Amino acid sequence: MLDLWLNYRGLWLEGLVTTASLTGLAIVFGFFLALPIGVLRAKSTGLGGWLALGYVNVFRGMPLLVQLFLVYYGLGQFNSELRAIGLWWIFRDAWYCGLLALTLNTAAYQAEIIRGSLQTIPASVYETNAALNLTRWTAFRRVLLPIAFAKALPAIGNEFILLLKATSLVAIITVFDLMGQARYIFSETLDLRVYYIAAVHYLLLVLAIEWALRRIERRFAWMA
Amino acid sequence: MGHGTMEWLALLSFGDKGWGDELLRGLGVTLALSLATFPVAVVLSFLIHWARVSRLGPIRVAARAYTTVFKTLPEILTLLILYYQSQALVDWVSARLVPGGSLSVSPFIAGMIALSLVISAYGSEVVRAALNAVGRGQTEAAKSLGLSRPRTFQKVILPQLWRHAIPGFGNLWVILLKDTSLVSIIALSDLVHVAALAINTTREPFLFYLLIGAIYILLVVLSSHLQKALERRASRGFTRLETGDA
Repeated sequence: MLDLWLNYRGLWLEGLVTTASLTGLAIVFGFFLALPIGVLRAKSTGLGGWLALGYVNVFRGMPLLVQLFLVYYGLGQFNSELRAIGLWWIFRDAWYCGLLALTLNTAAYQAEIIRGSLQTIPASVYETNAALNLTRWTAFRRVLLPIAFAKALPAIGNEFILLLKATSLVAIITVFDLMGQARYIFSETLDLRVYYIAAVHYLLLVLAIEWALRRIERRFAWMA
Repeated sequence: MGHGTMEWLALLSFGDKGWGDELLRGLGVTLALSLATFPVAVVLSFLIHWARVSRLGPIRVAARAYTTVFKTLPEILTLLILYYQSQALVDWVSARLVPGGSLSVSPFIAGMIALSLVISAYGSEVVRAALNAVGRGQTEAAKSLGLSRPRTFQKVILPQLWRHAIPGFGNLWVILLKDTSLVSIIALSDLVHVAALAINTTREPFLFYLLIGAIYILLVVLSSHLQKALERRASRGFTRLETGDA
């Protein structure tokens, strides 16, 4: 098995970097997109709340595979229009399409996590903010958001791992992540062990992330 | 591009020209795979949970390894490994039994097995949480009444378990429904696969992927309504405090 890894180690490492960077970028971009959506879900009962709910239902209701196809093949159909507004470089490239679809997808899940943790902040915290005469924005930025973040951390960590697994689907739209490289090396060698090697990569990645998350969670545990 | 609504509708019509009937059949395959897999996954979830609390050490270790592996590997990788490996196995066996003959593994069965493995790895946690919520007291009370263990489970625990397990299993049902789309990769003609075929001839990826996306969303929304109804039904006779929506 080791020979199969060593013979193609360049490809495996490239795949590892692609998987890691897609996961890392998507979780961070997704978090910032999820923040306003999650806040709207928790606080707004008007149009904003409805739109946020619509976003969450659409992106959690569709399989990620369909979202990837929709972005890469579906929007690719409008290439002349996209060229006209100068966005073609995104939709021409499978890597950008993958990142976009993953970001939109994880944002929907993270928004629900943020909503959940905002809703479990006890009333006493709001009363304290009022007693201290904090403006709504200051209270949100300096008190509510840090508490919500600490509360959300275990769930976001979980989402991080689910997202890592989900990135493997970008291989279907021709991105050479771990899964994409495995498919390529399999097509070269027709050796089933290739997929087991890919499995070991994912196993080690997830175990490493879980270890790191446990350490981070311990640091923030006092806030939650 | 530049297509009118009428042309789009024609593409989706039933019959020779449109893809309506093909898509409907794809939907049937998607639903059949989900419905066939779910009961297997639920039963497996219980078995895995029992293995995890078994008195025998090796069984506990094996069950832990099972949940770790199937919760860690991407579903598509599990599916591909299972599909190719079982095909290799079948080839090996059939070559010994019937020289010259060949059997092939059906993508439906491969998908069913792979998805059952993945869903049950998560499902064992649902079972564990639900059993905890029912509480040990019930088991002890049943034991003191002289009920056998199978009978305790069947008559005392299981009826109380559902109320706590419905939300968790409902979530897994939705995940399963969406994960069946992966089986299109090993050429099972589910919704996604039919859409891809339609796009090959019509060159309308946006229309078809949007349409099947909407179908999935509809299925998920319907499922969550059904789940709410089941939860209400399972919570009959409990106070608001007990069901937690006070």
